[in-house]
Amino acid sequence: MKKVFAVTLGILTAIGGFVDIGDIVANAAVGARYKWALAWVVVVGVIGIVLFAEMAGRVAAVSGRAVFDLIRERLGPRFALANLIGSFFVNLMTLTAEIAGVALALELATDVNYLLWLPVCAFAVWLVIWRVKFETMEDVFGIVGLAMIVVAVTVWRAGPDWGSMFHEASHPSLNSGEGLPTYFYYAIALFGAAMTPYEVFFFSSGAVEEHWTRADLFVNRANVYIGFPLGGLLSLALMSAAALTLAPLDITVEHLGQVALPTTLTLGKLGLATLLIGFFAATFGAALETALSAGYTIAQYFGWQWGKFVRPREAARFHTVVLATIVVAAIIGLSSVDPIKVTEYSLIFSAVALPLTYIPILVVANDPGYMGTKVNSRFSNALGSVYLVIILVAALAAIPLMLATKAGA
Amino acid sequence: MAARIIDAALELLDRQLIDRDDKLAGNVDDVEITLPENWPANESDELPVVTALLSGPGVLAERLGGRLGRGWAEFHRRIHPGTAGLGAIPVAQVREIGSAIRLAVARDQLPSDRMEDWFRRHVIAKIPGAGHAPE
Repeated sequence: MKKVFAVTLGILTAIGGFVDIGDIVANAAVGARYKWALAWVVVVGVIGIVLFAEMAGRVAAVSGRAVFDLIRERLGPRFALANLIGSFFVNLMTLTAEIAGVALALELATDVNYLLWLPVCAFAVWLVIWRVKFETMEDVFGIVGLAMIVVAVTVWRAGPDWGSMFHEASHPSLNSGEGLPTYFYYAIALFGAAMTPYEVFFFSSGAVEEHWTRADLFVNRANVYIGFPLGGLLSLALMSAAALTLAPLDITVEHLGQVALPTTLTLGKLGLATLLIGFFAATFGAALETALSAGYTIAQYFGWQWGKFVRPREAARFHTVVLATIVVAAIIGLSSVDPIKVTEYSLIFSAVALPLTYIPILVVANDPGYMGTKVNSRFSNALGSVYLVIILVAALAAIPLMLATKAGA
Repeated sequence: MAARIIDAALELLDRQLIDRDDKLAGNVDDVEITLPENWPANESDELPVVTALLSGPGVLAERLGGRLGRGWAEFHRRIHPGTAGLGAIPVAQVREIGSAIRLAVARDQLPSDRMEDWFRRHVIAKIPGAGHAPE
């Protein structure tokens, strides 16, 4: 038996991508404000990330090369450096928010101010990266993060009218007084949340960490097809719970405590306790994902030894980058910037940066020099081209919409 | 067996280097091409040949160009004076050209490894547990 939980890489990647601190709040906020009128974006996002991660995982398994390695080979050092700077910046913002998110989850559980928890959380994130084996890390945080399923139970127990829910999702309409630009601004934020570049940096590097080969292409598909739809489901559950419970009360969601409200109202204390464990594991998982991605991207751009499959002293620059990034993120977090706002912006910027990461992978997945017979199928390429258009439109529209709507105000 | 034709720009530039112990050892930041004497004016059949792969931050800076690249290259020359040709790996040490380029030497014998070594000695080795395999 090679590995009991062979799909935990996909689950951890997806939980870190779909239900990290920014998405937890963004999904609930969207549900409370638009009910199911933006649910379709989650579906579009899930299909997109499944396509993208499957290609990245397949390339990593067949060629042994992770995503940023290929970005430089295909874009050349100048464009790749611009991408590196942009991606690193988004990563750092996300890591800052996630560390604060872990601290916020602990604040909800203990009533101790999150700023006191923050340095402890930052240290814990670093310690796990320094000492814990990659496979153990993904098993623990992938499995415990599944506690977020309690939100789906909340929706089910709230006993919604499934028929009208589906109708509202498939015939999106806006409340009076809601403008279309704001609606599309939130659509891009949700799309950016589903298809973040750091998910594929982490997933493809994780495939190399686990020494996937051509023989593991089945494992790749299992990870992608189970992990990301599960993440999307949790996203939809957060949205629905807020739509069912908070929208009728006219509560707008601005912080983590309000996200927990539907579960507390429906399932009581035990539900809340489970949810807090889920919040903790999901944000901690996302913190690990972004901190490692910071190291992966820089090391892969320069060709340095990276990864947790070697001793730290054998990947000295990689571990120095990870440590320094965590320290900087903790310092920014301690300056008491609003972590929720930080991720909302980082989602928009990751939508802008996405084409520079997506295009090289689409190109390499079609290159027999890397892939041999495992190049993209016709179907993958057809779908891949459709998504190329969607990704480019989202990237071009993101900043203008952010400015025009004052970030969705 | 027919010789394999390699597109240097596509198949050498920016590729990952892997040393003889499977450790990642930098990227190919540039290639060194040696011209025959008086080429192309002389009438012989000699052609320019790729004689070395170049790797390291100084080499990358030169290739990046622009204001950033020039500033970086200048900085690199100041901290490593008199090291023209730094980071050259003779093609004789190349074992395999594929999705990565495999070398016959260990990475600590490459000049591009100096920075890794500096961080190893001054930062990472000072933290407890640096020599343990992750568990």
